[in-house]
Amino acid sequence: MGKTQLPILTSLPAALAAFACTLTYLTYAWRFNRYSCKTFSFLWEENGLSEELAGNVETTMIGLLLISAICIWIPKIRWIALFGAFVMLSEMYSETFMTSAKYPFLYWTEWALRYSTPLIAILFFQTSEKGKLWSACIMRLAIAAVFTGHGIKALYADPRFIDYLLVTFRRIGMETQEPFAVTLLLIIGTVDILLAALILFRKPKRNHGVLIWIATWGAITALARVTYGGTGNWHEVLIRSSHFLVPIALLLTYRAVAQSDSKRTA
Amino acid sequence: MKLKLAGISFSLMATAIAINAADFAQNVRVVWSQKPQTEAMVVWDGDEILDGSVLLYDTVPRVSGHRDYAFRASVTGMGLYQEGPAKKPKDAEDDWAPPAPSTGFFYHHAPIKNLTPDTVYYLAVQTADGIGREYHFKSAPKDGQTFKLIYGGDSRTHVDVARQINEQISQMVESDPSIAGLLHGGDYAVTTRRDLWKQWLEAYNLTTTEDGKLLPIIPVIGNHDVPGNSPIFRQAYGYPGGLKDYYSCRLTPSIAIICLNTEISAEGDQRIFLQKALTQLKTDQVKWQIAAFHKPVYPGVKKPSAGRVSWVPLFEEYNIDLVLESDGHCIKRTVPIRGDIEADDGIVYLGEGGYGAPQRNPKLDRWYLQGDNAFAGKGDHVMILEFAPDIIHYSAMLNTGEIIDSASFKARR
Repeated sequence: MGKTQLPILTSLPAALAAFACTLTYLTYAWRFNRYSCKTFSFLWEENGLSEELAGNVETTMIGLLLISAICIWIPKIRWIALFGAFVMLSEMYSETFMTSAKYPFLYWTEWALRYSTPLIAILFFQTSEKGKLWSACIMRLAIAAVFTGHGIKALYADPRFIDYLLVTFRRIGMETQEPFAVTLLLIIGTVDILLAALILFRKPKRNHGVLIWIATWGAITALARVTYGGTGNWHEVLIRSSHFLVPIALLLTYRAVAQSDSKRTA
Repeated sequence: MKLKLAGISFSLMATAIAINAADFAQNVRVVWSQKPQTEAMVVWDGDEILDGSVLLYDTVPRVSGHRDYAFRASVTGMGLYQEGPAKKPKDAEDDWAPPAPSTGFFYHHAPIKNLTPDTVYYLAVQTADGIGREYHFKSAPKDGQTFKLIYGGDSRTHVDVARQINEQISQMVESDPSIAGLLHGGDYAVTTRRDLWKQWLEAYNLTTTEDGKLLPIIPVIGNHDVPGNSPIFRQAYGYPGGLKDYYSCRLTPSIAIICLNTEISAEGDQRIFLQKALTQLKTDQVKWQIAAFHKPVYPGVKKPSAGRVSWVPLFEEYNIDLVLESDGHCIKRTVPIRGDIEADDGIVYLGEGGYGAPQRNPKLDRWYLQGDNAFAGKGDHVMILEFAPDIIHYSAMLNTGEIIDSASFKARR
């Protein structure tokens, strides 16, 4: 953000981050209840915890997610939403250390927005400039991490990404082959990593176009879960709501800063 | 006379020494993949490369005398099992270090061809030290013959349970000659570590009867069999599906099992393969068409796998008879499903894996697990499929021997 001071925003960006947090955590709560969670498998299968105890942990996690989804909107107890982030971190820890983990440690970058969104919203809702600056910083880092993680996975030609592309093409009447999807993923992965680098290292005021691109791509890739699996896959879209809502929040922040700067200059 | 006795003793001792020495060939097993009626892959392990070893086989036993087997098959592949990265066991000390990669465990592949269906073959591994123990197996049944296939998945984690089930299977094989083979739904060991696979392969060795009858295995790949891009599954089973790990197994001219891989793209080359395989089965008017893969498309616990989008429409279009799944660690038989609803002419999805993995409660609120036409439960188990000319009798058997679920599926064709 350079020397620029952030104005006290009445905070559409904060509301967007909070909305993303609510959508993500409500959907995760639904998913854990419906399909169980990784922490359950990690505790029960890999660490010998009883099914009942692991089930209780899972129920507690669902409860924490529901509470977080609500508390993010209540000023005095907003910090409670950090428990949702804790649940996400626990999921990632489990995913990383499961014996069948395919991309250990890549999950931490891939999921960066899912666990940092409450912190982003909490800091943004603060009245201090410093809080907002921190929030913008975390947004930048988290967006870059998500794009790096997904970019690397695309470069690995992740089978699920191949499926998303091929099924989506098939549904719109374009029959394509696996080598084509792999080539496309190579391009997508490279672009994702490039975007991550831009968001991280380029001056924010020059990143408006990049953020629009990122938000659009975030929305497209989230929606691809529905074009792939049908409307029954709605939850896959909502758990990725931060992938497009947070870049919009960051864009609005930068715009506000730019407007504030130009007013000052005038 | 003394000289004669000394001669006999010497030759007996020499035979014993030779058999002992040649028994460096461990875990001798028969793997069925594309054409079990006429082809088989014989695989054995060793603590070292058994250089110059060869497979001897015949249609008559050669357990004594000169052991002149009529046929011999060369070893086409051998080497050290390549393992994935080590993970710290949960009960390990703080200063735990990954085991040295030098732990020797080597595979040997000997494919045999031109077999006659429903014929007993006697085989032994010959090494530089002599000819080892004689085993026997029966090639896949003749068309129209009634036989049984055991189905089990997820033998990982509790290898003691896998051992116990394998001993139980061995007794069944001994008493019931109609058991032709075992289809494994994937997840043989927790990880792709060599020591864990060694445990599993030794456990599977317990299915071999006292008189040396081998139970052929049809292997399907699971998610625990791939971490670290380890080729250990392929090495353990002689590359049943090449480098893609999927294949169509024509058990008899009337029975086909399409073994798929849920760990790679479901939609890409694999869907093309599936469509071609199903078209071929339709052309050949194959009576029983079955699909088997690891991660379920109608799961008892978890999320549906990618096959739900890419494979189920093909299963329904080509009207296959039965689907076998694993991974969920419970026992499941869905209602017949077509177009994502219960339908009389639908496909039943069976399995979920209980061959040693810890068992959990299935989610009973799922529509496809409800009603008189479905079953859901938990317990260490395998499933038995009896193929009669016009009906498949299925039963799920717990490791206590109790039959917990059973059903019959009539032929569609």
